[in-house]
Amino acid sequence: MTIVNAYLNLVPVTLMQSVIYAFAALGIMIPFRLLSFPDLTVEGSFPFGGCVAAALIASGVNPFAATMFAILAGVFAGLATATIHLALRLNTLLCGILVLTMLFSINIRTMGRPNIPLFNYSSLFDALLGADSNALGPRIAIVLALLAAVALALFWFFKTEIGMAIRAVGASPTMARAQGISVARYTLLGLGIAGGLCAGAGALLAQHQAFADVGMGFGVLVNGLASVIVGEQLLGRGTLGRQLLAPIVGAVVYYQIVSLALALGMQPFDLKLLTGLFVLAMLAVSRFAGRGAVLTDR
Amino acid sequence: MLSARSLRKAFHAGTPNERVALNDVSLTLEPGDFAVVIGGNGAGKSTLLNAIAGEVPVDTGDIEIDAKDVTREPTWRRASSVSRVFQDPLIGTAGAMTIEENLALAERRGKRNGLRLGLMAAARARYHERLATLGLGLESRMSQKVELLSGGQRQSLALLMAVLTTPKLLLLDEHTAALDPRTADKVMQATIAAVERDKLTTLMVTHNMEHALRYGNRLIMMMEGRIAFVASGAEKAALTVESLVKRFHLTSDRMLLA
Repeated sequence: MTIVNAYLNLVPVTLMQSVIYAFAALGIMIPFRLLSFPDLTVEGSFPFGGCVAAALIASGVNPFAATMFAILAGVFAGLATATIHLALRLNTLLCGILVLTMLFSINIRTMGRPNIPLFNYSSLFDALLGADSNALGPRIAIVLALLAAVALALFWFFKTEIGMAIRAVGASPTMARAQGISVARYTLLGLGIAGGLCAGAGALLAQHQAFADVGMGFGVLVNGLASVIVGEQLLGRGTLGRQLLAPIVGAVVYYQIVSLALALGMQPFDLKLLTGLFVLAMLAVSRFAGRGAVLTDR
Repeated sequence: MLSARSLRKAFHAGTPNERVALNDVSLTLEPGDFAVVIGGNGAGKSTLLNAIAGEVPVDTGDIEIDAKDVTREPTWRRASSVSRVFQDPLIGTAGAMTIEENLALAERRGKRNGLRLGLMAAARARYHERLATLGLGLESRMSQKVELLSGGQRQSLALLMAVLTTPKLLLLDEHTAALDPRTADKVMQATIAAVERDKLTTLMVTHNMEHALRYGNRLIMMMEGRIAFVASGAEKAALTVESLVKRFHLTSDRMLLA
């Protein structure tokens, strides 16, 4: 019974975690799935968002403005990865590794130190919820509403002429060029949006836990990828709507599984190994079950 | 409609592996011309097509399409006047997108994209009508992803996409080579129907000698990066595989085809 109780106690905390990381999972899905651009930038852009938001909030900037600047910072991180790939024709994964490595230094420079506690500053949640701001329920409601708005906006956007051009670049760059679509322009746009989503997640997490740390991005890529894969196993990716819902549903389910593992007595430091093995198993299953390539490259 | 002057292209220039793929190639197509390019492997026919499309930048020479110098323009800028069907149907269509989305992309070829929805109800009706002309039943599968189609169906769709809006210049890059003979003939019939209906200026590269002799008003044979032989009009109509083999002292017709 203690295991069940331990797990149930974790449900709200885990749900909050899920809805925040769902933004990052969306930001991982877009390059991987819609652009066929396997990208690791999130490991740098996620903490970049957290660090920029924390540094600005700690210097007295309004939390909404700080969050917007954090998102903008993530957009630039995405643009940097895309620019390196387009200019030097380097492997997309290497471009992301270069950017996330450089961002480590930039993140510390941004904050002036490796971490910033925000307990004494007003976060986005404090500004919206006032005295109640520490209650988890309202916080989840706020992030969930934001997530729904962003998901709907993305669903509409990827059906517009510009959004369809981005998807065409991912489906076949040669065909896209032949239809008059600039592969460079739409790759930049897609990775910019993805970077903004990842940094936005980082900014929300920093404000939720009232703490930003340069190491807060470690593992976010594999967790996000696991969420995307779980979601796709549950929903499929037959339509644009399913493809966009998969990372969100996947994040909710995946972090509940993680929480269950913790309730069963697993140590937090074991989770990276487990997540890695889990992603590996999923990739192996889809390869050998002939369900098509899980990761397609340019 | 197309005027290519003294095109030269060398790959691996300045190295021992240098290979001149285009050596002083000039080609002019008047509106409504249908030129067919043949030649052996490495003759330069694909490079010629790629140079005109914009995929391969030429070293020297210039290219005018519809009286506009496009020599320095990338492929995507030329797309407003040029459309192309690729040999590989997987490349020429977006498998992860639906049939109707593919057609919408093709209908907007070369136009500026905005934040309007990319697919409107009125457009769907147009696509339905055009798809029905293919006789493959694709008009009832418009919201399915293209990756579910067979190679022949995908190539038929690719052809429809290329002629959906009337291009100034249609490039056909061995577009029936990856298909079985029956499907290849079907796609070829559809191609000829579209070309004749809209009087399209067309440049076709092919390995199919029968198609090369039967279709088009000009036959261009390339060898070692040069245009070796051109036959137009009545002269082209009189050509046979045997006469070509004899004329070029080839050991077999395979040298024309391969």
